[in-house]
This record gives sequence, C-alpha cells and structure tokens, in this order.
Amino acid sequence: MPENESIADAVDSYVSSLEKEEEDGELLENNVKKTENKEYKYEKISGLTGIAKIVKDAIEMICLGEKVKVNTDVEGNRISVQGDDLGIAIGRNGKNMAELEYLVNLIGRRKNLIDRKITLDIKDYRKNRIEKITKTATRMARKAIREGRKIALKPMCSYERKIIHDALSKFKDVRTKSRDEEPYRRIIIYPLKGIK
Amino acid sequence: MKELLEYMVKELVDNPDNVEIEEEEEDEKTIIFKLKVAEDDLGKVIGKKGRTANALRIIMRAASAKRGKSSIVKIID
Repeated sequence: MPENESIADAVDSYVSSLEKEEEDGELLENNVKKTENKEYKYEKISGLTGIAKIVKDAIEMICLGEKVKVNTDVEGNRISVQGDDLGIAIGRNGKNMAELEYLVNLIGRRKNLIDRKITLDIKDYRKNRIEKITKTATRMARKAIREGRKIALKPMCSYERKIIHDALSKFKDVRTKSRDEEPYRRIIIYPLKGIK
Repeated sequence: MKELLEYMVKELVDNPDNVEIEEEEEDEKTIIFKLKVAEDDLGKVIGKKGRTANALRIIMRAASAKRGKSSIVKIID
C-alpha cells in the first residue's frame, strides 16, 4: 500500500519537523540567554576596566609617575595594584588606600560603571593584613581560653573588626564584642568557661 | 599635584568644564589649592558630612608627602 505508507511518512516527517522546531526554539532560547549573560559580563568587565584606569592614573599621580600595574577580578569585584614604591598610596594602616577606594567607588557609582562595591588592594596589603589579624586573633582567643580571662585587641576599623568577629565565631569557647568608640573601637575576646 | 586634584574632581562632578583650580604657594613647603566648581556640584565634592572633601584632602596630603610638601585644599563657594 504505497499511499498509506506515504501518509505515514508524511505524519512522521511532520512530527519530526515539529520536534525539530521545538529543539530549534530551545536552541534559540539558550542562545539568547547566553548572549544576555555575555553582554552583562561584558558590561561588568568594561565598567571595572574603566575604574581600574582611574585607579591607575590616580596612583601614578600620587606616587610621582611610579610604574603601576592593575589587575581586575570580575568575580570578586576586586582591583589589585602592583608596583615598586607604593607605600604612600597605602598610607598608615591603609588609610590612604581606604580613602582612594571610597573615591573610586563613588565615581564608579555616579558613572554607572559598577553595581556593587569594589575592593581595592595595593600590593596585597589587604590580603596580608587579613591573614595577619586573623592569626593574631586566633592566638589571642586561645590565650583567653587558656588563662580564663578576657583579652582586648588593638583598636581597628570596622572592616577589620568584622573579619575577626567572623573568624572567631567558629570557636565555641569564646565570644567577641566591641568596646569604646571610633576610632578607638576595639574587640574584646571573652572566654566562656573558667573565668577566674 | 594640581593635575591629580583636577582629575579626581572632574570625575566626580556633572560639569567638568566648570572645574577651576588655583594654585597658591603659602610658603616653600605649603601649597594652597583653591577649588571652584559649579554651584550644583558643590555637594558632590563635599559629600555627606564632608566625607568626600575629606577623602580628597587625604589623597592630596599623601601626594604632597611624597613630594616633601604639605597641601591645603580649600573649596570656594
């Protein structure tokens, strides 16, 4: 029965064409999603690059034309700066760096270059500082438990205090609290057991 | 140093063409920067509770320390 066969064929081909269309539709949707993501990411990269250029220009002007290299980290919203003599751009306790970070964030937000806060790190100062204060705080927490007394840390800025509160919240035997007012606000570590 | 202040302020304001900076030497080590911006932009360079003006001054202090000088930033209104 050639006619029947042909009808069956026709139905088959129609169904398969429908399936294909569906697939095509899906493919198309996937493609759209991909390009959207890409564009978003591209915007984010170009925004961060714009900020990075401002950071580079500003630091070069602060440090008398010192050679400066900037790297951007899109995922972490970070701009890291490398160079030789950048001490003055960091400042005492990272003060100048913090102010520069505030300014570039302000500029970035006004120009719609960024949608969240950018962290500025010069010569890995911030990274090393986090490591150092976490280590000291952990050591002091152990000491507080061992000696059964509260221990006060040095005054620190809010950002650094947060890092320590977070780090020490993993220890069950100590509790942290902040005392005094800015800029002398400091963390006190209380041991929970064996207070003499 | 003037370029640095000009650069940062021009990025901050809406009317960069109206930014004017006058440089004045008070003595050998001190430079006064008189900053003029459009009236609408005054708030932008000063910021809430002077936060932005403070940041600008700290950056300028850092730059002048590098050059063995001190600087004063005056915002003229």
